Amino acid sequence: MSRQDEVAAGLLAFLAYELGVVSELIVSDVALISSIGNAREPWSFNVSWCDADGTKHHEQCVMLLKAGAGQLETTLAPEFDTIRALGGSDVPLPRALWCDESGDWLGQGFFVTAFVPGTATMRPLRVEGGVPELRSVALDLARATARLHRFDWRSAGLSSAVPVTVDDAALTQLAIWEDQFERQRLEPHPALVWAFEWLRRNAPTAERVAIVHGDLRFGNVLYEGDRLMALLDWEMTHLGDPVEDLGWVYRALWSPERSLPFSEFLAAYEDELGSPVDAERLRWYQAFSEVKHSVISLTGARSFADRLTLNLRHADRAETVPAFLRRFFELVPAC
Amino acid sequence: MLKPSPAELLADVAQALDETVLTTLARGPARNQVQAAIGIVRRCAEAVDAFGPVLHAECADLAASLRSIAAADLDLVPDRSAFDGAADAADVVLASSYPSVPDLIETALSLRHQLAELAVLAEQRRSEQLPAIRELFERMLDREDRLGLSPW
Repeated sequence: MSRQDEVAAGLLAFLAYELGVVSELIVSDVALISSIGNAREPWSFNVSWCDADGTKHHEQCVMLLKAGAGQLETTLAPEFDTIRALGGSDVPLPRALWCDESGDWLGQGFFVTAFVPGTATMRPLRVEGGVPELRSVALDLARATARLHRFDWRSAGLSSAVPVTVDDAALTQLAIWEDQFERQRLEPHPALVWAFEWLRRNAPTAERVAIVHGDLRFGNVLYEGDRLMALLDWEMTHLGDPVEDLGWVYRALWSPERSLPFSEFLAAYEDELGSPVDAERLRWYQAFSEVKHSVISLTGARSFADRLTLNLRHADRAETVPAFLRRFFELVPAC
Repeated sequence: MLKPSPAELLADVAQALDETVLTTLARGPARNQVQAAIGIVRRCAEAVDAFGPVLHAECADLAASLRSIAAADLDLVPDRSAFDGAADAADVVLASSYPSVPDLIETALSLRHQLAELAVLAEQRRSEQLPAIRELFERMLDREDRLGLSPW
Protein backbone atom coordinates (compact mmCIF):
# COMPACT_ATOMS: atom_id res chain seq x y z
CA MET A 1 0.00 0.00 0.00
CA SER A 2 1.43 3.42 -0.89
CA ARG A 3 1.88 6.06 1.76
CA GLN A 4 -0.89 8.03 0.13
CA ASP A 5 -3.25 5.06 0.40
CA GLU A 6 -2.26 4.52 4.04
CA VAL A 7 -3.00 8.14 4.89
CA ALA A 8 -6.31 7.99 3.03
CA ALA A 9 -7.33 4.83 4.86
CA GLY A 10 -6.29 6.27 8.21
CA LEU A 11 -8.21 9.48 7.59
CA LEU A 12 -11.33 7.56 6.56
CA ALA A 13 -11.21 5.46 9.72
CA PHE A 14 -10.57 8.51 11.92
CA LEU A 15 -13.39 10.54 10.37
CA ALA A 16 -15.82 7.63 10.58
CA TYR A 17 -15.08 7.51 14.30
CA GLU A 18 -15.10 11.26 14.75
CA LEU A 19 -18.26 12.04 12.78
CA GLY A 20 -20.33 9.24 14.29
CA VAL A 21 -23.63 8.37 12.65
CA VAL A 22 -23.21 9.61 9.09
CA SER A 23 -23.54 8.11 5.66
CA GLU A 24 -21.79 8.42 2.31
CA LEU A 25 -18.50 9.28 3.98
CA ILE A 26 -15.91 9.71 1.25
CA VAL A 27 -12.29 10.80 1.62
CA SER A 28 -10.70 11.67 -1.71
CA ASP A 29 -7.85 13.48 -3.44
CA VAL A 30 -5.39 12.78 -0.65
CA ALA A 31 -2.06 14.34 -1.59
CA LEU A 32 1.14 15.43 0.11
CA ILE A 33 1.48 19.18 -0.35
CA SER A 34 4.86 20.25 -1.61
CA SER A 35 6.19 22.32 1.24
CA ILE A 36 9.30 23.33 3.13
CA GLY A 37 7.56 22.90 6.48
CA ASN A 38 9.76 21.18 9.02
CA ALA A 39 7.80 20.10 12.08
CA ARG A 40 4.57 19.31 10.26
CA GLU A 41 3.92 17.34 7.09
CA PRO A 42 1.08 19.01 5.14
CA TRP A 43 -1.50 16.95 3.27
CA SER A 44 -4.58 18.04 1.35
CA PHE A 45 -7.77 16.05 0.93
CA ASN A 46 -11.48 16.36 0.40
CA VAL A 47 -14.15 14.82 2.59
CA SER A 48 -17.90 14.61 2.13
CA TRP A 49 -20.65 12.99 4.19
CA CYS A 50 -24.36 13.08 4.97
CA ASP A 51 -25.72 13.70 8.43
CA ALA A 52 -28.50 11.53 9.80
CA ASP A 53 -30.98 14.22 8.76
CA GLY A 54 -29.71 14.12 5.19
CA THR A 55 -27.67 17.31 5.34
CA LYS A 56 -24.74 17.01 2.98
CA HIS A 57 -21.32 18.29 3.94
CA HIS A 58 -18.19 18.84 1.96
CA GLU A 59 -14.90 20.12 3.23
CA GLN A 60 -11.71 20.87 1.37
CA CYS A 61 -9.08 20.20 4.00
CA VAL A 62 -5.47 20.57 4.98
CA MET A 63 -4.01 18.10 7.45
CA LEU A 64 -0.82 18.82 9.35
CA LEU A 65 0.79 15.55 10.41
CA LYS A 66 3.56 15.61 12.99
CA ALA A 67 6.80 14.93 11.20
CA GLY A 68 9.90 13.19 12.49
CA ALA A 69 12.49 14.95 14.62
CA GLY A 70 13.75 18.24 13.31
CA GLN A 71 14.01 21.68 14.72
CA LEU A 72 11.43 21.55 17.47
CA GLU A 73 9.21 19.03 19.16
CA THR A 74 5.82 20.51 20.02
CA THR A 75 2.48 19.05 21.04
CA LEU A 76 -0.57 19.65 18.89
CA ALA A 77 -3.19 20.58 21.46
CA PRO A 78 -2.06 24.16 22.21
CA GLU A 79 -1.84 24.89 18.50
CA PHE A 80 -5.22 23.38 17.64
CA ASP A 81 -6.94 24.84 20.70
CA THR A 82 -5.68 28.31 19.83
CA ILE A 83 -6.80 28.07 16.21
CA ARG A 84 -10.18 26.80 17.33
CA ALA A 85 -10.56 29.54 19.96
CA LEU A 86 -9.75 32.22 17.37
CA GLY A 87 -12.31 30.77 14.95
CA GLY A 88 -14.95 33.34 14.03
CA SER A 89 -12.81 36.23 15.30
CA ASP A 90 -11.36 39.00 13.17
CA VAL A 91 -8.01 37.23 13.03
CA PRO A 92 -7.57 35.54 9.64
CA LEU A 93 -6.65 31.89 10.02
CA PRO A 94 -7.79 28.48 8.79
CA ARG A 95 -10.95 27.07 10.36
CA ALA A 96 -10.15 24.32 12.86
CA LEU A 97 -11.87 21.00 12.12
CA TRP A 98 -10.43 17.95 13.88
CA CYS A 99 -7.45 16.93 15.96
CA ASP A 100 -5.94 13.64 17.01
CA GLU A 101 -3.06 13.77 19.44
CA SER A 102 -2.93 10.01 20.01
CA GLY A 103 -1.24 8.94 16.78
CA ASP A 104 -3.48 5.84 16.74
CA TRP A 105 -4.93 6.56 13.30
CA LEU A 106 -1.95 7.70 11.25
CA GLY A 107 1.04 6.73 13.36
CA GLN A 108 1.60 10.36 14.37
CA GLY A 109 -0.66 13.03 15.78
CA PHE A 110 -2.32 15.43 13.37
CA PHE A 111 -4.94 18.06 13.05
CA VAL A 112 -7.14 19.19 10.20
CA THR A 113 -8.19 22.66 9.13
CA ALA A 114 -10.27 23.91 6.26
CA PHE A 115 -8.37 24.79 3.12
CA VAL A 116 -7.60 28.44 2.54
CA PRO A 117 -6.50 29.58 -0.92
CA GLY A 118 -3.32 31.56 -1.39
CA THR A 119 0.42 31.34 -1.42
CA ALA A 120 3.07 31.68 1.28
CA THR A 121 5.95 32.29 -1.09
CA MET A 122 8.68 34.64 0.13
CA ARG A 123 10.15 35.33 -3.32
CA PRO A 124 8.60 38.84 -3.58
CA LEU A 125 10.44 39.84 -0.40
CA ARG A 126 13.68 39.96 -2.42
CA VAL A 127 12.43 42.28 -5.16
CA GLU A 128 14.48 45.47 -5.10
CA GLY A 129 12.25 48.46 -4.60
CA GLY A 130 9.48 46.34 -3.13
CA VAL A 131 6.17 45.07 -4.50
CA PRO A 132 2.92 47.05 -4.08
CA GLU A 133 0.87 43.93 -3.42
CA LEU A 134 3.28 42.81 -0.72
CA ARG A 135 3.10 46.24 0.91
CA SER A 136 -0.63 45.81 1.17
CA VAL A 137 -0.28 42.31 2.60
CA ALA A 138 2.26 43.52 5.16
CA LEU A 139 -0.11 46.28 6.29
CA ASP A 140 -2.86 43.66 6.55
CA LEU A 141 -0.48 41.59 8.66
CA ALA A 142 0.23 44.50 10.99
CA ARG A 143 -3.47 45.03 11.61
CA ALA A 144 -4.23 41.32 11.93
CA THR A 145 -1.42 41.00 14.47
CA ALA A 146 -2.90 43.80 16.54
CA ARG A 147 -6.28 42.09 16.46
CA LEU A 148 -4.67 38.84 17.55
CA HIS A 149 -2.96 40.59 20.43
CA ARG A 150 -6.12 42.23 21.73
CA PHE A 151 -8.20 39.05 21.40
CA ASP A 152 -9.87 38.15 24.70
CA TRP A 153 -8.29 34.75 25.22
CA ARG A 154 -9.65 34.40 28.74
CA SER A 155 -13.25 34.59 27.56
CA ALA A 156 -12.41 32.12 24.82
CA GLY A 157 -11.37 29.60 27.45
CA LEU A 158 -7.69 29.48 26.62
CA SER A 159 -5.12 28.97 29.32
CA SER A 160 -1.48 28.16 29.70
CA ALA A 161 -0.03 24.98 31.20
CA VAL A 162 2.24 27.30 33.19
CA PRO A 163 0.43 30.46 34.37
CA VAL A 164 1.87 33.57 32.77
CA THR A 165 1.74 37.07 34.25
CA VAL A 166 2.90 40.43 32.98
CA ASP A 167 5.79 40.23 35.44
CA ASP A 168 7.15 36.89 34.28
CA ALA A 169 6.12 36.67 30.61
CA ALA A 170 9.63 37.42 29.34
CA LEU A 171 11.38 35.28 31.94
CA THR A 172 9.03 32.36 31.27
CA GLN A 173 9.91 32.31 27.59
CA LEU A 174 13.57 32.81 28.37
CA ALA A 175 13.54 29.81 30.70
CA ILE A 176 11.84 27.63 28.06
CA TRP A 177 14.43 28.48 25.43
CA GLU A 178 17.35 28.26 27.81
CA ASP A 179 16.22 24.80 28.86
CA GLN A 180 16.02 23.83 25.18
CA PHE A 181 19.51 25.28 24.63
CA GLU A 182 21.02 23.33 27.52
CA ARG A 183 19.51 20.06 26.26
CA GLN A 184 20.33 20.50 22.60
CA ARG A 185 23.72 22.16 22.37
CA LEU A 186 26.71 20.13 21.22
CA GLU A 187 29.33 22.57 22.55
CA PRO A 188 29.69 25.35 25.14
CA HIS A 189 28.57 28.35 23.00
CA PRO A 190 29.89 30.98 25.46
CA ALA A 191 28.39 33.94 23.58
CA LEU A 192 24.92 32.37 23.77
CA VAL A 193 25.39 31.52 27.43
CA TRP A 194 26.25 35.17 28.07
CA ALA A 195 23.33 36.32 25.88
CA PHE A 196 20.87 34.38 28.02
CA GLU A 197 22.32 36.00 31.13
CA TRP A 198 22.08 39.47 29.61
CA LEU A 199 18.46 38.85 28.59
CA ARG A 200 17.64 37.60 32.08
CA ARG A 201 19.15 40.66 33.77
CA ASN A 202 17.35 43.02 31.39
CA ALA A 203 13.99 41.22 31.09
CA PRO A 204 11.09 43.66 30.70
CA THR A 205 7.66 43.61 32.24
CA ALA A 206 4.79 43.13 29.81
CA GLU A 207 1.87 45.52 29.52
CA ARG A 208 -0.54 42.66 28.85
CA VAL A 209 -0.61 38.90 28.48
CA ALA A 210 -1.93 37.99 25.04
CA ILE A 211 -1.87 35.19 22.49
CA VAL A 212 1.56 35.21 20.93
CA HIS A 213 1.81 33.52 17.52
CA GLY A 214 5.45 32.65 18.19
CA ASP A 215 6.53 32.38 14.56
CA LEU A 216 4.82 35.37 12.99
CA ARG A 217 6.54 36.11 9.70
CA PHE A 218 6.33 35.96 5.96
CA GLY A 219 6.59 32.30 5.11
CA ASN A 220 3.80 31.63 7.60
CA VAL A 221 1.46 34.16 6.00
CA LEU A 222 -0.97 33.00 3.31
CA TYR A 223 -1.86 35.74 0.85
CA GLU A 224 -3.60 36.13 -2.48
CA GLY A 225 -2.70 39.14 -4.59
CA ASP A 226 -2.65 42.07 -2.21
CA ARG A 227 -4.77 40.42 0.45
CA LEU A 228 -3.78 38.55 3.60
CA MET A 229 -5.76 35.32 3.70
CA ALA A 230 -4.56 33.50 6.83
CA LEU A 231 -1.87 33.22 9.48
CA LEU A 232 -0.36 29.74 9.41
CA ASP A 233 1.99 27.56 11.47
CA TRP A 234 0.83 28.17 15.02
CA GLU A 235 3.03 25.46 16.53
CA MET A 236 4.95 27.91 18.72
CA THR A 237 1.88 29.78 19.92
CA HIS A 238 1.69 30.55 23.63
CA LEU A 239 0.41 33.13 26.07
CA GLY A 240 2.92 35.87 26.71
CA ASP A 241 4.02 39.39 25.89
CA PRO A 242 2.67 40.20 22.42
CA VAL A 243 5.71 42.36 21.68
CA GLU A 244 7.52 39.05 21.21
CA ASP A 245 5.77 38.72 17.84
CA LEU A 246 6.93 42.21 16.84
CA GLY A 247 10.50 41.26 17.70
CA TRP A 248 10.30 38.30 15.33
CA VAL A 249 8.28 39.49 12.34
CA TYR A 250 10.90 41.70 10.67
CA ARG A 251 14.03 39.64 11.21
CA ALA A 252 16.36 39.92 8.22
CA LEU A 253 15.68 36.38 6.96
CA TRP A 254 12.04 37.12 6.18
CA SER A 255 11.66 40.87 6.39
CA PRO A 256 9.25 42.65 3.99
CA GLU A 257 11.24 45.84 4.58
CA ARG A 258 11.71 46.43 0.85
CA SER A 259 7.95 46.67 0.42
CA LEU A 260 6.98 48.13 3.79
CA PRO A 261 9.48 49.68 6.22
CA PHE A 262 9.20 48.37 9.75
CA SER A 263 8.36 51.87 11.01
CA GLU A 264 5.21 51.83 8.88
CA PHE A 265 4.35 48.27 9.92
CA LEU A 266 4.67 49.30 13.55
CA ALA A 267 2.60 52.45 13.01
CA ALA A 268 -0.20 50.40 11.45
CA TYR A 269 -0.02 47.91 14.32
CA GLU A 270 -0.13 50.64 16.97
CA ASP A 271 -2.99 52.38 15.21
CA GLU A 272 -5.05 49.17 15.12
CA LEU A 273 -4.14 48.22 18.68
CA GLY A 274 -4.83 51.74 19.99
CA SER A 275 -1.61 52.02 21.99
CA PRO A 276 2.09 52.54 21.33
CA VAL A 277 4.77 49.87 21.64
CA ASP A 278 7.57 50.51 24.10
CA ALA A 279 10.81 50.82 22.13
CA GLU A 280 13.05 49.27 24.78
CA ARG A 281 10.77 46.28 25.23
CA LEU A 282 10.67 45.83 21.46
CA ARG A 283 14.47 45.91 21.31
CA TRP A 284 14.69 43.27 24.06
CA TYR A 285 12.39 40.99 22.10
CA GLN A 286 14.35 41.59 18.90
CA ALA A 287 17.49 40.52 20.76
CA PHE A 288 15.61 37.58 22.31
CA SER A 289 14.51 36.55 18.81
CA GLU A 290 18.12 36.12 17.71
CA VAL A 291 18.80 33.86 20.68
CA LYS A 292 15.56 31.95 20.12
CA HIS A 293 16.41 31.29 16.48
CA SER A 294 19.92 30.25 17.51
CA VAL A 295 18.41 27.59 19.76
CA ILE A 296 16.04 26.46 17.01
CA SER A 297 19.03 26.02 14.72
CA LEU A 298 21.03 24.15 17.36
CA THR A 299 18.06 21.84 17.93
CA GLY A 300 18.00 21.01 14.23
CA ALA A 301 21.74 20.37 14.23
CA ARG A 302 21.43 18.16 17.29
CA SER A 303 18.62 16.15 15.67
CA PHE A 304 20.86 15.40 12.72
CA ALA A 305 23.91 14.66 14.88
CA ASP A 306 21.85 12.19 16.92
CA ARG A 307 20.40 10.68 13.71
CA LEU A 308 16.87 11.54 14.76
CA THR A 309 16.58 13.02 11.30
CA LEU A 310 18.55 12.49 8.11
CA ASN A 311 17.31 15.73 6.58
CA LEU A 312 20.51 17.37 5.36
CA ARG A 313 19.03 20.84 5.81
CA HIS A 314 19.69 20.30 9.51
CA ALA A 315 23.20 18.91 9.12
CA ASP A 316 24.98 22.26 9.22
CA ARG A 317 22.23 24.31 10.81
CA ALA A 318 24.52 25.27 13.72
CA GLU A 319 26.54 27.34 11.25
CA THR A 320 23.69 29.86 11.09
CA VAL A 321 24.18 30.88 14.74
CA PRO A 322 27.10 33.34 14.25
CA ALA A 323 24.94 35.59 12.05
CA PHE A 324 22.21 35.64 14.70
CA LEU A 325 24.76 36.49 17.38
CA ARG A 326 26.09 39.35 15.27
CA ARG A 327 22.58 40.77 15.12
CA PHE A 328 22.21 40.25 18.87
CA PHE A 329 25.35 42.29 19.50
CA GLU A 330 24.05 45.04 17.21
CA LEU A 331 20.89 45.24 19.28
CA VAL A 332 22.49 45.04 22.72
CA PRO A 333 24.32 48.18 23.81
CA ALA A 334 28.05 47.89 24.32
CA CYS A 335 29.04 47.26 27.91
CA MET B 1 49.19 12.85 -3.27
CA LEU B 2 49.01 16.62 -3.33
CA LYS B 3 46.77 17.16 -6.33
CA PRO B 4 43.87 17.40 -6.14
CA SER B 5 44.00 18.86 -2.65
CA PRO B 6 41.11 18.07 -0.29
CA ALA B 7 39.65 21.49 -1.05
CA GLU B 8 39.90 20.97 -4.80
CA LEU B 9 38.48 17.45 -4.51
CA LEU B 10 35.48 18.58 -2.51
CA ALA B 11 34.80 21.43 -4.91
CA ASP B 12 35.07 19.12 -7.92
CA VAL B 13 32.77 16.54 -6.32
CA ALA B 14 30.16 19.21 -5.63
CA GLN B 15 30.37 20.41 -9.23
CA ALA B 16 30.05 16.89 -10.63
CA LEU B 17 27.03 16.10 -8.48
CA ASP B 18 25.46 19.38 -9.48
CA GLU B 19 25.91 18.74 -13.18
CA THR B 20 25.23 15.02 -13.36
CA VAL B 21 22.81 14.18 -10.55
CA LEU B 22 20.91 17.26 -9.44
CA THR B 23 19.75 18.10 -12.94
CA THR B 24 18.20 14.63 -13.31
CA LEU B 25 16.11 14.78 -10.15
CA ALA B 26 12.54 15.96 -10.04
CA ARG B 27 11.41 18.32 -7.29
CA GLY B 28 11.02 16.40 -4.08
CA PRO B 29 12.85 15.00 -1.04
CA ALA B 30 15.66 13.32 -3.02
CA ARG B 31 16.46 16.53 -4.93
CA ASN B 32 16.34 18.54 -1.70
CA GLN B 33 18.80 16.15 -0.06
CA VAL B 34 21.24 16.24 -2.98
CA GLN B 35 20.99 20.02 -3.20
CA ALA B 36 21.73 20.36 0.50
CA ALA B 37 24.64 17.93 0.25
CA ILE B 38 26.17 19.84 -2.65
CA GLY B 39 25.93 23.08 -0.68
CA ILE B 40 27.59 21.53 2.37
CA VAL B 41 30.38 20.00 0.30
CA ARG B 42 31.01 23.33 -1.49
CA ARG B 43 31.21 25.25 1.79
CA CYS B 44 33.54 22.64 3.26
CA ALA B 45 35.71 22.99 0.17
CA GLU B 46 36.00 26.71 0.91
CA ALA B 47 36.67 26.18 4.59
CA VAL B 48 38.93 23.15 4.74
CA ASP B 49 42.21 24.97 4.07
CA ALA B 50 41.47 27.70 6.61
CA PHE B 51 40.04 25.47 9.32
CA GLY B 52 43.32 24.48 11.02
CA PRO B 53 44.86 27.98 11.03
CA VAL B 54 41.61 29.61 12.18
CA LEU B 55 41.25 27.05 14.94
CA HIS B 56 44.83 27.68 16.05
CA ALA B 57 44.18 31.42 16.13
CA GLU B 58 40.99 30.79 18.10
CA CYS B 59 42.80 28.75 20.75
CA ALA B 60 45.63 31.26 21.02
CA ASP B 61 43.22 34.18 21.37
CA LEU B 62 41.04 32.36 23.89
CA ALA B 63 43.99 31.27 26.01
CA ALA B 64 45.61 34.71 26.07
CA SER B 65 42.34 36.62 26.56
CA LEU B 66 41.08 34.37 29.34
CA ARG B 67 44.35 34.70 31.23
CA SER B 68 44.26 38.47 30.81
CA ILE B 69 40.63 38.83 31.89
CA ALA B 70 41.02 36.48 34.83
CA ALA B 71 44.16 38.36 35.99
CA ALA B 72 42.29 41.66 35.82
CA ASP B 73 39.29 40.39 37.79
CA LEU B 74 40.11 37.47 40.05
CA ASP B 75 36.47 37.10 41.13
CA LEU B 76 35.53 35.84 37.66
CA VAL B 77 37.30 32.51 38.24
CA PRO B 78 35.98 30.83 41.40
CA ASP B 79 37.47 27.46 40.38
CA ARG B 80 41.06 28.47 39.81
CA SER B 81 42.27 24.90 39.52
CA ALA B 82 39.97 24.04 36.61
CA PHE B 83 40.73 27.32 34.90
CA ASP B 84 44.50 26.97 35.20
CA GLY B 85 44.26 23.36 34.08
CA ALA B 86 42.46 24.33 30.89
CA ALA B 87 44.82 27.23 30.21
CA ASP B 88 47.94 25.14 30.86
CA ALA B 89 46.67 22.32 28.65
CA ALA B 90 46.06 24.88 25.91
CA ASP B 91 49.61 26.16 26.23
CA VAL B 92 50.96 22.63 25.73
CA VAL B 93 48.93 22.15 22.54
CA LEU B 94 49.78 25.59 21.20
CA ALA B 95 53.48 25.06 21.91
CA SER B 96 53.54 22.11 19.52
CA SER B 97 54.89 22.88 16.04
CA TYR B 98 51.89 21.33 14.29
CA PRO B 99 49.05 20.63 16.70
CA SER B 100 46.45 18.29 15.24
CA VAL B 101 42.97 19.56 14.44
CA PRO B 102 41.37 17.16 16.97
CA ASP B 103 43.69 18.49 19.69
CA LEU B 104 42.87 22.06 18.71
CA ILE B 105 39.15 21.31 18.78
CA GLU B 106 39.40 19.79 22.25
CA THR B 107 41.42 22.78 23.40
CA ALA B 108 38.93 25.25 21.96
CA LEU B 109 36.01 23.42 23.58
CA SER B 110 37.72 23.45 26.95
CA LEU B 111 38.58 27.13 26.74
CA ARG B 112 35.09 28.03 25.51
CA HIS B 113 33.64 26.25 28.51
CA GLN B 114 35.80 28.41 30.79
CA LEU B 115 34.77 31.51 28.84
CA ALA B 116 31.07 30.66 29.22
CA GLU B 117 31.37 30.44 33.01
CA LEU B 118 33.51 33.53 33.23
CA ALA B 119 31.18 35.56 31.00
CA VAL B 120 28.09 34.71 33.08
CA LEU B 121 29.84 35.79 36.27
CA ALA B 122 31.04 38.96 34.58
CA GLU B 123 27.49 39.83 33.51
CA GLN B 124 26.05 39.04 36.93
CA ARG B 125 28.64 41.24 38.64
CA ARG B 126 28.75 43.92 35.95
CA SER B 127 32.47 43.34 35.78
CA GLU B 128 34.73 45.94 34.18
CA GLN B 129 35.95 43.06 32.02
CA LEU B 130 32.66 42.91 30.09
CA PRO B 131 33.96 45.09 27.23
CA ALA B 132 36.99 42.82 26.85
CA ILE B 133 34.72 39.75 26.86
CA ARG B 134 32.46 41.31 24.29
CA GLU B 135 35.42 42.16 22.07
CA LEU B 136 36.56 38.55 22.36
CA PHE B 137 33.11 37.39 21.24
CA GLU B 138 33.34 39.72 18.23
CA ARG B 139 36.73 38.31 17.25
CA MET B 140 35.32 34.79 17.56
CA LEU B 141 32.53 35.75 15.19
CA ASP B 142 35.06 37.26 12.78
CA ARG B 143 36.87 33.93 12.69
CA GLU B 144 33.59 32.13 11.99
CA ASP B 145 33.04 34.50 9.08
CA ARG B 146 36.45 33.60 7.66
CA LEU B 147 35.38 29.96 7.42
CA GLY B 148 32.18 30.85 5.55
CA LEU B 149 30.30 27.73 6.61
CA SER B 150 26.88 29.28 7.05
CA PRO B 151 24.29 27.88 4.61
CA TRP B 152 22.33 31.15 4.61
